[in-house]
Amino acid sequence: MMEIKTEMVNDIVVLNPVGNLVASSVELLKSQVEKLIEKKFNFLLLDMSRIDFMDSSGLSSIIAANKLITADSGVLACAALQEGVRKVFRVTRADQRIAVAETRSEGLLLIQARIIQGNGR
Amino acid sequence: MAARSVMNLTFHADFASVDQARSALLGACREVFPLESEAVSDLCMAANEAMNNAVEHSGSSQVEIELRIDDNCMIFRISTCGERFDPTAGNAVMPECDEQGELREGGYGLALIQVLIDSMSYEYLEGKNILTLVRKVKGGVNDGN
Repeated sequence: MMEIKTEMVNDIVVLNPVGNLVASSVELLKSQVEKLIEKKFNFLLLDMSRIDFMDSSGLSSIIAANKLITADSGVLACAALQEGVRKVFRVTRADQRIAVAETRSEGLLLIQARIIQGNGR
Repeated sequence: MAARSVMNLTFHADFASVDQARSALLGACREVFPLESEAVSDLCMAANEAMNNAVEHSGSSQVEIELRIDDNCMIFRISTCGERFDPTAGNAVMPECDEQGELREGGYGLALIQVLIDSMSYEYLEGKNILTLVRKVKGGVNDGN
């Protein structure tokens, strides 16, 4: 099972999922992101420090979220990846297209910098 | 040393059961190879993708898995009943970006398996699709002594 806690840091919504981001749990992340986008929250930080395991379904859900958010001139960043999750990003080359930060605070700075630049891309 | 079986499990073909099977597999691998965290992680990640594929595509109501080990490797075998379906026959390259330069949303499962393990083989025996994944390890087996 996965739980997602949400908080606001200035204009950025920080999602804090806890558990495994896998086929049985991806719908929760997808629905959370869709609701946020509907409410025009377009700057999202995914704090992945408590995601112990992620499979290709989990990666697909992040790619889908990134597409939705960037299509609306928003920014998605992922932060604090554990080693196994980082490996999935690396071998699929998803880390070349999705913003990845070492820490949560670096992720927030990264999004803030892109907001100042004008938008996500 | 001949490979010996350390885990056998049959579970209902649904994603929640895959989570339980992955946990059991991870525990079994760690117990035998406590110092091989990367190899164990790779095998479990690849096995998870194979189990997801079985749930999603095999049409079988049950999934059987087995973990065998020897001094040099972990061998994961997954079996499902049904029509012949060879996942190794397809092109398992990592998906490239689409025409707009965007990441594709799917197609990573089999490619991930290819990257994470050392060898993969398929056979169809007595109405069962059997996929075998092998991940080598560097160190020795923890035999409990």
